[in-house]
Amino acid sequence: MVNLEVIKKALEESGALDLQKLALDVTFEDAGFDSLDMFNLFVELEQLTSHQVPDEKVDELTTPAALIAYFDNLND
Amino acid sequence: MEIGIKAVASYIPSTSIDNLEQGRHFGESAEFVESKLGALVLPRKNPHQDCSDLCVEAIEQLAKQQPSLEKENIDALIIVTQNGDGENIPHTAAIVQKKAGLPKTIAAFDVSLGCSGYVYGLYIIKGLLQAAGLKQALLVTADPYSKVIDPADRVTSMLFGDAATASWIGHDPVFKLGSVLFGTDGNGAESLQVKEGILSMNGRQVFNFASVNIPRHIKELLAVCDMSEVDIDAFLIHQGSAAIVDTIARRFTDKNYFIKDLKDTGNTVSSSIPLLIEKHAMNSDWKNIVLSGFGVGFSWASALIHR
Repeated sequence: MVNLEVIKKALEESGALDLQKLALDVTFEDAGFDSLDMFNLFVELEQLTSHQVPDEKVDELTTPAALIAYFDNLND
Repeated sequence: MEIGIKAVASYIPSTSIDNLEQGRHFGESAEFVESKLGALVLPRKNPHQDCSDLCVEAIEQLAKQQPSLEKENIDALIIVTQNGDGENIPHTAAIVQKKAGLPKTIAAFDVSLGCSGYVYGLYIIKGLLQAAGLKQALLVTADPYSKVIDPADRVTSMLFGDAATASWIGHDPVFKLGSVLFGTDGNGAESLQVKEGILSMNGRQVFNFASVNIPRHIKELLAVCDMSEVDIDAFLIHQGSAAIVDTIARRFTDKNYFIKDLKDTGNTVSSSIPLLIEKHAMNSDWKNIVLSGFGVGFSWASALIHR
């Protein structure tokens, strides 16, 4: 299950140093994460869930809340 | 007798793009350009130069560096490129044979591979020399992506630099060629391709492929060699970007053994690994080095070279 803690851990695993601004409804961009941080985050989450997020979905998943909802819906 | 790498030399064009300035143009921070992309400057060939000219410059550097290299005794020449002269017919190796003054008895051909091409080239040459009873060869890499980059494309224009390298391959090498593993997955064909003369890249797909597959591939190689990470003095992997080198290195116990050096060159495709060998390995006391090249195709290859 993907939740905020899992996202934080995935970002840490991928080398992100500053997670202070990370919050459910704050965009990853506003929290200080760039496109390559996001590549890393998706790799970590995809390995964890064995699900590859399609390219066309990635641009929509701009906040942790959106990301969590996306993975929740996969399980429904 | 063992065949391997006797010497490596390179040619990096003196003209270059300031990547920090280019980053500002695309709205990217200096921190992003430096720590994630990794290149502060991107060398660019002059408009009057073609791929073969870069190859010849690298061969001339090698000849200067190695007085015992006699061009008339070179038996084979491989040019690793996907951006050869003109429209790729004839093969660039034939043009280089003439321009570099190499003998007409030479076996000369191109190998169409991108970032995995140097590792493939080493073993193609080893096989050729052994099968045909030949003695020495030149393995040249030159893939000037500036020929196919759209300067308005932020994804590709901040990554790639032009360069060429020439490796002298033969007996009595500095580094012998050990075990090697190869890989190909054509599902990645569309992730990095040229269409109508312009390069396009799906950065996320390329990143995913490399970050998931390459650490696993290197670990498989270590198992084949019956070695572990601690037996390796350095990992010289393709310098796709600073971020991909960091990401792959993090999958290992000590990321410091992964050499990251692309600030003056950017991603030079098949030249990135020989540039690292020239600069960091040839005069080192390293005994065991892992090479890993990966990219276009997708194609990848990992090898152990050793003293």
